[in-house]
Amino acid sequence: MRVLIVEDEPALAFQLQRLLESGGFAVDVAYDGEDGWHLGDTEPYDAVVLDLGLPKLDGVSVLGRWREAGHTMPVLILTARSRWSDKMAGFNAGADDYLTKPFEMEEVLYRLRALIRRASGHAQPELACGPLRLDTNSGRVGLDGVPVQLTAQEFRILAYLMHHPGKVVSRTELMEHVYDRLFDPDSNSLEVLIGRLRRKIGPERIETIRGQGYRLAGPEAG
Amino acid sequence: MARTGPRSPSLSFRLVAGAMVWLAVMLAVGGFGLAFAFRQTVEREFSQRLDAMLLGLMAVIEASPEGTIGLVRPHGDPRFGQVYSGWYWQVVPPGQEPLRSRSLWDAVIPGSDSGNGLHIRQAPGPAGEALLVAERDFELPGIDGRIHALVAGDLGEVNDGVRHFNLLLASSLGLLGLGLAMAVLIQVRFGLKPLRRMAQDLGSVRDGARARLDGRYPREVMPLAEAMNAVLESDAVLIERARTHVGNLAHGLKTPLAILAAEAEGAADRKVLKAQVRTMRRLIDHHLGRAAAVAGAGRVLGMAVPLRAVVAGLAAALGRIFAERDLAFDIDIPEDLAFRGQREDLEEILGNLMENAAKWAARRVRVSGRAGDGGLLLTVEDDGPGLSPEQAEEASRRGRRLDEMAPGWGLGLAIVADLVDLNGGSLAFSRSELGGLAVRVGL
Repeated sequence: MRVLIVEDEPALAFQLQRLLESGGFAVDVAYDGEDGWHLGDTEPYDAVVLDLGLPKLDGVSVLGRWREAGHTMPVLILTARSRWSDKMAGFNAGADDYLTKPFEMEEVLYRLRALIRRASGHAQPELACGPLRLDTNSGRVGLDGVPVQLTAQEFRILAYLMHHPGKVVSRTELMEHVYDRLFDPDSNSLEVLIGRLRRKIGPERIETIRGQGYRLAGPEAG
Repeated sequence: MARTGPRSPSLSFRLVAGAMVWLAVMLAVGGFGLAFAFRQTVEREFSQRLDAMLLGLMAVIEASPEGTIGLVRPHGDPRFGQVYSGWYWQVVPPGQEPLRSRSLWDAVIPGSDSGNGLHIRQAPGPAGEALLVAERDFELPGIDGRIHALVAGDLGEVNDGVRHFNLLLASSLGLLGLGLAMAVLIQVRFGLKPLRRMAQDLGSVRDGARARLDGRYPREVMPLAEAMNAVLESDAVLIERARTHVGNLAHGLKTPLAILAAEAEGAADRKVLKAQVRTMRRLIDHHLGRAAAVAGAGRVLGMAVPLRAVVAGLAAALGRIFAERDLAFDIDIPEDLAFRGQREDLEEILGNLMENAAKWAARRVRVSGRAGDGGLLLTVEDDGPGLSPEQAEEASRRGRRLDEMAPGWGLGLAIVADLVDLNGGSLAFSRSELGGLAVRVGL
């Protein structure tokens, strides 16, 4: 899962980035409205954390432009203003949820996971695929009830596949949602990661569809 | 208050300047018209006099048996006897020496072909003066051909008269203008006096000498005074509230600060630090958040806000926030119902109430509205656990008592209570027929 943070306060942006990375996300950060708008317009994010008070282009305008351009990724807005008239401006522009500053850091992670889950059509916080379980609230993975230890990148690959069970996910799509913009993977690294993942959760869980990509398989998938 | 841009000219200046320009134009037009008419009249009268003289001259002309002409008796007016007096007569028979007045000496006023009847024209005189000439052609028995006779008078007399009249006219019009200008000045000063008084009263409000505009003002400016008073009063309430909040906040922050300071002296316990920071955040939310939410609230100069649209917008937003709860929002509000006041106030009141209802609801939130006596009756209900009668009573009581409210009580409902109060409304809590809480707001 890959998210964009648009926040002009560097300290807060850094804290959010650290928090979301530790929560298993690939994270890009933009520090002003124009940058943020451009990134959201060109990269396939699974969710966005958008501050409303931004230099160059304010958050409501950024959001409005994304929605106008047809981008439907869920957007969580952050604002220092707690009045409903301010929140409504965000919602009318197409926001999916909001948090008023100051907020508890864990709350951002919780809301973001719920937004991503909802956007891919899952109502329950626990995603299941055969014996595999992903608790989106805690970010824990279990196989037949036994916790599985995954690295951050392995987790992102599995989480993306589990949000789209039964769907064939191309290599490009997977890479776009697993690596942040500054990460430069060598061409084999995705195959290496998939290999490691298969060793941990069982080789038959992730199918390779030649020439098309990967698919998460399981009796309850789809 | 800082003024931006150039000052607009004062009302007095506008009124006086406008009246003056108009007066000057009208007096000038009138003056020129009168002078022109007077000159016309005088000139007509002058030519009539000349013609009468000409006819008198023609009556005393006779032809001798030798075929020459002469005067039966000399023309009576002595001005014709003075050389170059400006008054001349002249008779020119065909083929003979002309007869002329002594005043003409041996000069000749060139005649012109006058045709039949009287002909009036201007011509220069022998001494260079401007003359008005009346001339006629006529025939005498015993004389072949037509005889040309003319009488000329000095136009200087006319000009003198006209000049004299114009002087008189200009001075009386000037006097009239002066009088009218004075009248305008007095009228403007008198008419604008209430406005000046209002400005003075506002000045004393600003100086703190009085709290409101309580003078008597004319009907036309009374609404302005009332609107100003409404603003002043709601400002006073807001300032009082802000002062209370700031006082309570300052007081409340001292304890956690003292604990933090003590903690910083020794080995800081992160748990204690976190708890104190949380307390401080809650205090700030409670006091400053509420002060910010109600800033500028009130019924002052509000517009008609369509109720249904606001509720529908909020329901859509809350539906997204609580997406996984799959809540149903029932809206029972007539299309044409409107709230008279500020949209921000309405959104804040309904937003907080509906959010609260959505938080507690099992499945349903219902918002209904209808017109009550002199306002709106709004009800926000849910099918959640609701409040016990004692809790509802407590909530109603606390909603009215700002000063005693502890920060623990729901911030959203406290803001609602403040805003409803500032809008002169009422707030009541009861059990809904849906099973949960029903909040009734009169606005």
